[in-house]
Amino acid sequence: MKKIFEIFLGILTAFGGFVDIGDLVANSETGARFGMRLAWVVILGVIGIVIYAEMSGRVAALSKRGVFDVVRERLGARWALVNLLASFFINFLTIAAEIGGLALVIELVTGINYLLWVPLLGIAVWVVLWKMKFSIMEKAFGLSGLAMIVTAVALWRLDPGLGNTFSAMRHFGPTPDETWATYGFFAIGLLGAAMTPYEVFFFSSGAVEEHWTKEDLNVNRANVYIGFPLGGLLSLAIMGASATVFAPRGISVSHLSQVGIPVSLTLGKVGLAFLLFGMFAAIFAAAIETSLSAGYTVAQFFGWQWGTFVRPRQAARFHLVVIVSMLGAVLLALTTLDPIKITEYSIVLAAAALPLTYFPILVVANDPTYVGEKTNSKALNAVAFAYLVILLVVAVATIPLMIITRGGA
Amino acid sequence: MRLTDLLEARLFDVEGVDLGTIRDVWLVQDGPPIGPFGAALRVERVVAGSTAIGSRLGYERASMTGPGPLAAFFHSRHAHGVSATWSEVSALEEGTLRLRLPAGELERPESIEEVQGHAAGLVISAGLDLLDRQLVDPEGLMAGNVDDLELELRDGGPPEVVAILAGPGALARRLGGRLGAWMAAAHDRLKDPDQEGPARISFGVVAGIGSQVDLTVGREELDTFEFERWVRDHVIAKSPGS
Amino acid sequence: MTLRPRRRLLWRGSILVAVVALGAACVAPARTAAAYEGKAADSASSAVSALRTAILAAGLGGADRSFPPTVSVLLSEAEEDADATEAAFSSIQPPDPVSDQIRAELEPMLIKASKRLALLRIAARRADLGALPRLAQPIERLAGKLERFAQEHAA
Repeated sequence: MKKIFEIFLGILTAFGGFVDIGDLVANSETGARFGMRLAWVVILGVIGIVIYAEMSGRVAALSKRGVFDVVRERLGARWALVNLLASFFINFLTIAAEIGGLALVIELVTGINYLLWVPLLGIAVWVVLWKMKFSIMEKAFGLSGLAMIVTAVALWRLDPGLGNTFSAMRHFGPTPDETWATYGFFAIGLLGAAMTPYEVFFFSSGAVEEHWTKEDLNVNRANVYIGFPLGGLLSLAIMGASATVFAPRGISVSHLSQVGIPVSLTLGKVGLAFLLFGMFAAIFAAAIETSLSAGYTVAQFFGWQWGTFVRPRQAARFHLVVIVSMLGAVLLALTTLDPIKITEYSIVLAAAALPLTYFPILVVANDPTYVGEKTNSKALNAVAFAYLVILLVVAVATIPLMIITRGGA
Repeated sequence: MRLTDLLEARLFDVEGVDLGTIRDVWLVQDGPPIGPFGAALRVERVVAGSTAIGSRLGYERASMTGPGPLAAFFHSRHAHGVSATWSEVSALEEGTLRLRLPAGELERPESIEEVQGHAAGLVISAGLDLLDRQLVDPEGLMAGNVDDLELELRDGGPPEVVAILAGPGALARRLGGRLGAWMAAAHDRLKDPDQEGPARISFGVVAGIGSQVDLTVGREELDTFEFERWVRDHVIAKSPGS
Repeated sequence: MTLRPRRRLLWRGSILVAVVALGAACVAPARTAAAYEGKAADSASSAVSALRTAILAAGLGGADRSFPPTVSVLLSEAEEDADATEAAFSSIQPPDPVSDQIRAELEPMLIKASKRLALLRIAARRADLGALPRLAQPIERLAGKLERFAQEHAA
């Protein structure tokens, strides 16, 4: 009975924690601009993250090695360093985006300019990270994130039965007034938002943090196979609400404030309160996760002790990296660079960098010296390999599309 | 001598034909005893050529069968690779390894399982099983990575692995180029003046190797701990609740 | 095989990304009438987006379906967007007399949009949410006009 409750809690935590600032921005912007024509990318991305997270969770549980341990062991120090620099930079952008996003949410509640909140929130995130126990932190914020389900309720009110939403999903390709290049560029952003690398760094390191063993693999699978797709449905709800309210009015989404309009329209202040609360919690969790990921990646590359499962003084360099990264991210946010713009760049670059970390994990998930008898099945390998190809295509296409569309303008 | 002197060296046969860059070095555990680890590891052969990347990824083993296309690709290419046992080596110079035989007389490359079949001890791939692995102390705390290996040539026999080299001093040489030089210079300036060269962990304190390398000494006693100690004392200890 | 070629690639890649990032922020000149017309259409669309967002926000504020600070932020951002659109468009040099006409038609509409949105923002910041629907009434006509303009001149 306790085990079932644990699994249930894990699923809800994964569900509530799935959506972060990247998903909010990507799904709202895409819904407003392309209706539901890119919904298939969200589905593609969710399947991708499920495969990726399950493999890295399994590897971490059975070998006690986090993602970057594996990256370095398989690719060697040089390639792993290139990998580290790229991953660290993108992760750094993501931290800035999440902290900026938090500040924007507080601005919506108080009316006071977001820049004033950035340093305070940076400190708040760090304090929670420093003091709160890992599993409590994850559950508290993950479950609170579930408040964003009001978006799904709002969509139901806007489009009862979801008839319009579903039929809109069947259209493929850009609308007549948009180009395939922009369509492709937004697709890459959506994919990057759904499959963000930091989620995997955090997930696999978390498996070691929580001392997972072979017995926990099924809990891992439940969280991932059920929790993440539910999170994906929430992403689609955000896209659908945006599509229903904004697309017909010619409104393009470029501010976080607009994301709350569909919920306000249908559910008034109560709905909006739930949404803002949920957004705050989920983005806060993401800020913690990306900050820790900065430490995980660097520490795992160099072989330093990492993790919140040891006292801070036992993992001094790890915590130093986390602090420095957060400080840098706060400074970046304080340059008044629009957090939404930072988010847009972080998700697109994240998509482009995915093969770097996905490939070693795919190889190691097949290595009996790491995972014993629990290597990938043939079916899983077939799908996982197909994804490797997809991710390589995405990686190659990203910079050209970024140039052609001038950053999705 | 370091392992990186062998890896990345170019392999030439007796006629001077370039056989490619050495990508991996296989070790056999058949040397003199060296502490809890048992017999020391000695160089058995080098694997060269572009196909040897598969060795680094682990596709040398028959047990690595997935994903299908990758495994098939690397397994098929292995037959076209070059591998030479240490007895076929005549000289090691700056960046090159010369063989005593022409390329045509080298034996067909075997898989690591085949080599294990007729070897006197455990056969491992230095690149895959030893290099870049996490070092863990008896308390389960992480103590760095295997950044390089120190090899010693003994009485005309194959080089023996005598120590693990860890930390920026060793990593600098692996990375090479300007970045490596910068890292080496920084390490020289910041390290303990008594310590010569990179942090060295004698193989005598290695308990075993698997998905990690287990040590018999606590990490605080290793040279690699210096930087961690400094950060701990000067930065982290100052923060409340550490 | 040294790291140098790969590091150079990494440097070049980073610089490229930075250039693209900056490039997306800058407004390039329009050298042909067609390019100018395209930019005019884009500017009109941006203005429509800001105006329609403001209409929604005003409706929410007036019906007490949102919080005053939220409405305030929505309207401030809409006004900023409209101002930025007008500033960017007016800074583009019209290449020929045909473009002058386009400018003459669009520019006043953009300025009007900014002005109307400013009034909304002022009322919202004063927490005078009740006044918002009344102030928002004339905006839909302007939005419609701009939308038709954008459709007529679309690329």
